[in-house]
Amino acid sequence: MKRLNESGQMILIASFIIGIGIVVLTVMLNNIVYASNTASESSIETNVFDFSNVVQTTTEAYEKAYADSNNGYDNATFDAYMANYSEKMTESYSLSGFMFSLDSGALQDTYLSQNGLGNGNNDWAVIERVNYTDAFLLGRLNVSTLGNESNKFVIEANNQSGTTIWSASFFNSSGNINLNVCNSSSILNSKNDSFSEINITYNEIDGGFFDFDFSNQVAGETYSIKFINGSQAMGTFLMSGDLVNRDPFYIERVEVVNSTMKLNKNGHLEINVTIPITLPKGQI
Amino acid sequence: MIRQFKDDERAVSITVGFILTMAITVITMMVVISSFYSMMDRAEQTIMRDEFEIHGNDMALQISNIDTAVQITRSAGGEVGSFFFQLPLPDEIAGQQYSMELSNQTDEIIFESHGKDATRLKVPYKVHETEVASVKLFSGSDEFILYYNPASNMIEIY
Repeated sequence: MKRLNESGQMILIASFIIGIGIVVLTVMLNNIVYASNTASESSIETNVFDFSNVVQTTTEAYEKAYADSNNGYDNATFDAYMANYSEKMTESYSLSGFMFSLDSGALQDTYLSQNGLGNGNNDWAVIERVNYTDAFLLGRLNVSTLGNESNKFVIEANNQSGTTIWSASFFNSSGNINLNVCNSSSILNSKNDSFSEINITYNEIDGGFFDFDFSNQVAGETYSIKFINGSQAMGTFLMSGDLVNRDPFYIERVEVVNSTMKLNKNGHLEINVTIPITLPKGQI
Repeated sequence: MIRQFKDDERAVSITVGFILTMAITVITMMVVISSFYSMMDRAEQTIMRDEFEIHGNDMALQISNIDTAVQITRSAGGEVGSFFFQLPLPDEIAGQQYSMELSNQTDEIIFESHGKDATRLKVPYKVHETEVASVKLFSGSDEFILYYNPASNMIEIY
């Protein structure tokens, strides 16, 4: 009889163990559920890829619109192409929750600064690691916007050690353009006249002969071409040739358009940038 | 009869046994309860740090995104008019308010709650083209906006 009475202790102990077990399990489950919920609160948006795509796609659209509009002469075609592009981009980006808008500025004459605007980067490398230059032309040189002798616009060809092996400087001298062509040590040729079209590789100024001696001076060198004081000169340029790795390059700048792009996602994210796009082909 | 009564210790045994059982039960309950609270506190701090890490990584990514976008725009010769991102930060994490500090000395985002070291969490960020303005903010605001200030070339938060 006594043994039977003591067996109740085991029931009590078992109950305590089960009770504590339930408490521990509840706490652990609570933590798991809580942690799972908190992790789901994060919202990571990879907006920079969309932005990068928009910039690249819009630049290419401008280049195609410019080519389709007979190099900007047919303004109606250019505007229609860009309006259609803007509409299509708005539609396609709306599917991923973005509102896209494009404000296309007017085509304007370019400065020889990095971005083609008067307030752009003055001193910049147009192309690097050049092996051979087929064509190098400057056009529509506007003497009224050309800097004076202290702010002269200079084209430099520098070899890989940074030495200037050829240069041409332009400055406004009493309404004329003063041009000096130099190698690493001395002046090779100079001219003080009114002119606007220059073909450096074909040694011509406004159709007449003028020895730039560019091809001889850079022969056998790997060089870069730099513009110094680019915002002190307004004009167009074309450059083509081969890089040292045998890849061809082609850069042509006739006009620039200041384009404002805006991306907005539900009011949580907004990107608004203005990028000048040089046409017909600003990049390699 | 009296001798028999004096030698009878059965009642004493019951009282002493009861007191001992009571004392052991109270002490055991105190230990169990304090352990339980301690465990809950640790769990809360662990969850808090986990969530700080999630939000910190999110912020570091957005700072990096803004910096990259500025870099892309500048390399194209353009200008950033505005760039802002609304951070989805909760008023409370694990039922507690918290602070968030951006430090451009150490390039870190520092979260902590009520100044407790156990809740402090640091998330590093990296910028190349811009600077990040140092600031310390407290939860409870309706919204936090991470934005780029073109005039100072700084990423700021308010």
